[in-house]
Amino acid sequence: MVAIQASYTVTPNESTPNGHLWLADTDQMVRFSHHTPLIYIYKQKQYQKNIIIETLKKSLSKILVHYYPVAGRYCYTKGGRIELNLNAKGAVLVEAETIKSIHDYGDFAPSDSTKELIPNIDYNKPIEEMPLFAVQLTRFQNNDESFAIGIAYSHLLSDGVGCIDFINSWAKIARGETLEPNELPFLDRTLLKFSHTPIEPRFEHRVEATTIHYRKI
Amino acid sequence: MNRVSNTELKPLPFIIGRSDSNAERNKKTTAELLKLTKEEVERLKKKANECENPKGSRPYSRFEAISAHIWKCTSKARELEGNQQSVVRFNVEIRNRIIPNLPKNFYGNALIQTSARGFIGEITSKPLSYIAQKMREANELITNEYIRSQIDVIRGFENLDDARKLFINGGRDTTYFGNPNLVITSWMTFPSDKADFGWGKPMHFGIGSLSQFDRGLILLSPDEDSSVIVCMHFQVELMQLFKKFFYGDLYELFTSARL
Repeated sequence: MVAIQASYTVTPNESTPNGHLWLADTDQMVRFSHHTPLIYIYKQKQYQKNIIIETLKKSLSKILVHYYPVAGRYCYTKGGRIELNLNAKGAVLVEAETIKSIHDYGDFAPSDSTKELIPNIDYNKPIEEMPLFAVQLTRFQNNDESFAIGIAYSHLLSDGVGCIDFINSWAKIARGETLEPNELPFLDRTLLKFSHTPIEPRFEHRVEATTIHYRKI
Repeated sequence: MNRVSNTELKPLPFIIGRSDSNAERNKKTTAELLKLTKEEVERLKKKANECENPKGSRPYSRFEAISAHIWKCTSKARELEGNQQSVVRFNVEIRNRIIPNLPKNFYGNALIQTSARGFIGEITSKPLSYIAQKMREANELITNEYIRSQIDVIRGFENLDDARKLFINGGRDTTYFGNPNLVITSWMTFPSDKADFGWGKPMHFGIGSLSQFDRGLILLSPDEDSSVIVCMHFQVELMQLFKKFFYGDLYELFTSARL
């Protein structure tokens, strides 16, 4: 069992561009009602929760300046299409403790147990309220040295390459370093915006039991 | 531009004699971390390159060899009929494939889905190189033209929810990607060891919750010894059998490989 002790909303520590970010068609093909669950396990000689939480909080608010879409929220446009509202509502940072020891998790193969180390996202809430990025620091019982950082990362934000770049850049800032210009993310997705090429006759495409009818142009 | 036939968006086959995937979808899935040592990975690569690699083409990669091995072992464990079709779905990263190329630091989903198809009979009996070649062909299908065509198909949908059903990452609530099919994901290129926030490198990096369908997630081991971890999601009732083939076939490789 994991007990949540505190939850913080972390926003960019400088003002960031607002408006709406166009999401590509490849982004749209990812369900929004799912965040990629990642687990990192660390060992530190002396676990000092306050220092870890403060480091994570401070560096997250800095990295969100560069990766401001991560602090935004989704909204629907038309035809089930989703856009990103760059409203800097923030990411979520959760502090938790489990009564389990690190050994209870074995090799951390995914299971109902490891799921407890990932921040919980409420998909019943309206899409406009759903955080796109949440982090959970969980301390294990009977072990002063090990802790988990669980991550819930909305896949619409980016693929795994982009996600790991984001996390590694965040870590770099947490270490007190600065990002090189070539480490800053390229945020404009309109490079993948192509006009639709209508070809007649449109074909029908059978999907399981449903027939999808293509839009006539 | 000619429209390319988007085979990766065709419906997935069901088990022969069935009209849906409900029975399989309701079966419980479990996950295990299966380690392949550096030597085992090399052996798999060697086996994949023993024959049938068309002359002049580059050797089969680590990804092609490991994913072929996973596909073969799932096919054996499932004990399906030989003429059963099986599809492996995976995503291909397109930053360097689309023309013009996307910047290296492009932040978004630069992914296009592809599929390898085969019959259980051939996947279980043919040499590893034959299956690796299927993975390669599915991968090489993703050209600039193909990417643009797939995006064009998506743009043709009146409601994107209908399009989402066709994709691994979008349709898990509506489409079952498991038995007789399979999803393979490679995170081998992810530099997860760089996630040092000031308290050292992670001693473990992985996925935190269970996929509800058969999926092989390939990661590098945190031990930094070039060993690989296959985080295998498979039906509970078939997992033991899968593992038997996963390591048993490796053992056969050891005895048959020409040293």
